[in-house]
Amino acid sequence: MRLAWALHGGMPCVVAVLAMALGLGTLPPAGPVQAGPAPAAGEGPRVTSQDGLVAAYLYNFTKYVEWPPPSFGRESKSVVIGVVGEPGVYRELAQIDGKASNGQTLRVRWFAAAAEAEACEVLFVGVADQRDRALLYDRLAEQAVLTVAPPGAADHEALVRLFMEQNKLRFEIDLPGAQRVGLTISSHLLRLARASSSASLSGIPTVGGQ
Amino acid sequence: MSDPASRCAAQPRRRRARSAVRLLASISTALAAWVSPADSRSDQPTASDAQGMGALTELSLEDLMNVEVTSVSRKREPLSDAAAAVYVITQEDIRRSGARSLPEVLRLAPGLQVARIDSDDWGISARGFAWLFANKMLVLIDGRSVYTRLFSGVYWQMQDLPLTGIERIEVIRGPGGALWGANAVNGVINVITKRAGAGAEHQVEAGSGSEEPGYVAGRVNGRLGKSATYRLSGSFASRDALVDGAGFDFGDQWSSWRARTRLDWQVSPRDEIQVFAGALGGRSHQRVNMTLPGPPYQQLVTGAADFSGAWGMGRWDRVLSSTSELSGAVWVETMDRDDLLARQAADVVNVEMQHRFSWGNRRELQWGLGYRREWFGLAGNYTFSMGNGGEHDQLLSGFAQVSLPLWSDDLKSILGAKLESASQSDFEAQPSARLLWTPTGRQTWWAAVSRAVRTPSMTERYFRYNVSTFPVGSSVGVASLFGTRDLRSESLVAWELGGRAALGRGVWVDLAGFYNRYDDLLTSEPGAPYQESDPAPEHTVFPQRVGNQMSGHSFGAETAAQWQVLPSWRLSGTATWLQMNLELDSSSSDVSSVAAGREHPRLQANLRSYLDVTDRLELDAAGYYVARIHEGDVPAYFRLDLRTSFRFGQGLRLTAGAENLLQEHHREIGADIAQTPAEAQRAFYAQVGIEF
Repeated sequence: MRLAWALHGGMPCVVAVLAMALGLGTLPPAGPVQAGPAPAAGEGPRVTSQDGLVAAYLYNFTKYVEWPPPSFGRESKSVVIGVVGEPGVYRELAQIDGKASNGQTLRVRWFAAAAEAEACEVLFVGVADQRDRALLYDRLAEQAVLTVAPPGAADHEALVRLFMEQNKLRFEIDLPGAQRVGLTISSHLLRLARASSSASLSGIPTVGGQ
Repeated sequence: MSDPASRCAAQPRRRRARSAVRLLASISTALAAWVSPADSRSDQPTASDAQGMGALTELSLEDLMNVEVTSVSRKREPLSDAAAAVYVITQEDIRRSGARSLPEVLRLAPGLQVARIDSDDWGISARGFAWLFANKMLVLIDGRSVYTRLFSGVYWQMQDLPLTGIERIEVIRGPGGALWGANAVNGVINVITKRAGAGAEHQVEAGSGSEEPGYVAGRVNGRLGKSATYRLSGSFASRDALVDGAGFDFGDQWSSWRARTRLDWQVSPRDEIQVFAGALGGRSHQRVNMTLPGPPYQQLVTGAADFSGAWGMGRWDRVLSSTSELSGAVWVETMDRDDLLARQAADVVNVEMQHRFSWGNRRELQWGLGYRREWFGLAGNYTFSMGNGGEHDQLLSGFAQVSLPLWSDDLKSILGAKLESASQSDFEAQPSARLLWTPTGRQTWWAAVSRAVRTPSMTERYFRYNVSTFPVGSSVGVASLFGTRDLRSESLVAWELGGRAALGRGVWVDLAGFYNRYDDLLTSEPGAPYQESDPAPEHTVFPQRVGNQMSGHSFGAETAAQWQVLPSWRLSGTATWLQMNLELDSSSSDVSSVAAGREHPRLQANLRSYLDVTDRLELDAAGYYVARIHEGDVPAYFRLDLRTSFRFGQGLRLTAGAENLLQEHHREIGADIAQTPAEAQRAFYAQVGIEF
């Protein structure tokens, strides 16, 4: 059965494809279904960049975690936040490179690929490829690195896992894993993690994820 | 050698070029108008960055948890979670492989046969069917397909690009799924180039070697304003001729230049626009056996063949919400080749869009539409010519794919379908069903069954190839191969199974197995002889017409493994096994096509070692084994490549290496239509690279 296409020079087809694309693009953004009460007006600043929020979380984690001394042969006066991949998050974090916090200096480093990543106090594992990620975790095994997984990553090995819940960024902590490598997580952070996560550690709600 | 066929008329090409430009102009106007910033809903941050990171560091963690994100970063699909036989060649693999061109890098992937034909041609295909005009692969660079509908394959010397500009190469064996465009039958090769990241701003490389006497490349990374980055690169390479079986110069030297640019522009937190453009040109020296209309019936012709091309692509991604993303792309491309066999030109316009959205827990739907139009001009000669009707071609396609969890969070099903319609043909359905099981974060198992079709190329439908001439009584006879207008698509049903796992202690293993069932494969069916009087004098034609009367099956397995033995020493390897059996339908009288099932090596393997002797000195070795190819009597061969590289200071790197150390020269493929193979040679090279 032949469909009759009046494809005279192909223009109608091109226009149709474009019209669909532009039409869809101008739809108002459809937010996820809100289970709880809508946030009250004026509750917290509105931020448009998820990368900036992720960077702010990484900065805050350095305040509530203690690393066993000495850290990787470096001066214990500096805390390094490493970012693998995710140049957007790195650019936000780079703004606080050199900032003093809790008597220590914060440093920010970027690694283009998992193979180049080195152990840092905090490592944001923006590695999508399962093989590269698994090999990176093998290399970091037993080291006191606070690994953080980006929202939406199917990363079961990171000690802190970020996820989106109704347009807000939340996190989960693998406490036994952190204790195994010698990290001390403050009870304040643990309380916030438990309060924010309604699911158990094994079932991470991923928005639009795999 | 006469050239009676009508020349590709300059007039129609100019018309086409004008209408392509008009099209591009209207698209970019529409895009610009749509993307312009007046979007009051999104509370775009002001230039003072008051809502950026600086302000956020003042907030406590409790406050941060109440901050609402109105636009989510675009999710980059983790390909290794795909339910298909995927292998990713990383930047590190590419850099340390010692390869000097894109086709040579592809040897690293399991399941691919990469056979050198001459200095600028390779036969590359997955799971069989590799030859000069291999036609069952989809090859993409940054999402733009780089095959030509003229023969549904790739001119590899026109797709070469500086290897330092490649971020990674995703090699998928098998149909891959509904997401991949037309021609993804036996596999997909997706080359992704680097963005301008936080790396060095300038880089220059220059090198020389016995096979590549001159090589120079440069790259500039930069930022434009706050939200755009660009990358410009240019390169020139001149390559030496290979040798024939006796060691004599094959006369196939070539040189080419390439320029590319890439712009990544985060227009707003929701929108990203990417613009790619490039141009290339070069000259290769070819040798072709041309058929003559009379005695001495055949002539080996050698000569220079120029080629050139240019292309531009715009891509735009928009995040509609935290659960919905939209993207669209438009590209135009033009190509010109003065091959000895035929002068050809092609222009392509391609428009496509994709939408992805998710709902519930781990449920996702992706769908898209695409339209491609290609115009051809071909000026042939006595040996090769195109009949009427081969001037343009269009392809309309659509796909949809849905992922649904099954029973538990670990198990996911992916159902998809592609619909394609080429010019004057019906829509062909290509469904695919896949299962993905992730019992732990360190293992993935998958199974798939899918159907893929390969729509006939322009040559297969319209060409005439005079294979040989010979005396018949007192006059001449010519054996000619003709295309068939209403040729059916070749089809494949693939059953696949595989898994990948990180076994701990730095070991990673990937396995895939498949069973392919092919139908409607191309044959050449003899017809009744007839008399022809053009060109004079009158002669007898013994025609063969392209038909679809072959089917068959193949099966095999591919494995890849990696072991980080020590922090400074990594071992990687792959192995590929393939068995194929093709058979003619009972209605066929073809005599040669079944041989296509014996033109692959049954076994291929490679083992590579990457050693960081110090943090400045690298020592790498790669060994390859390719088994014998029965058809064409190509003996098995071992190949050994060595490479060493030393880094001085921060930005100066010296590299030297050798390829094919074990033999002076060796053949990798047999002879075929228009395919006169040379032998790959032992080669040495050295290179200097500076970054600043």
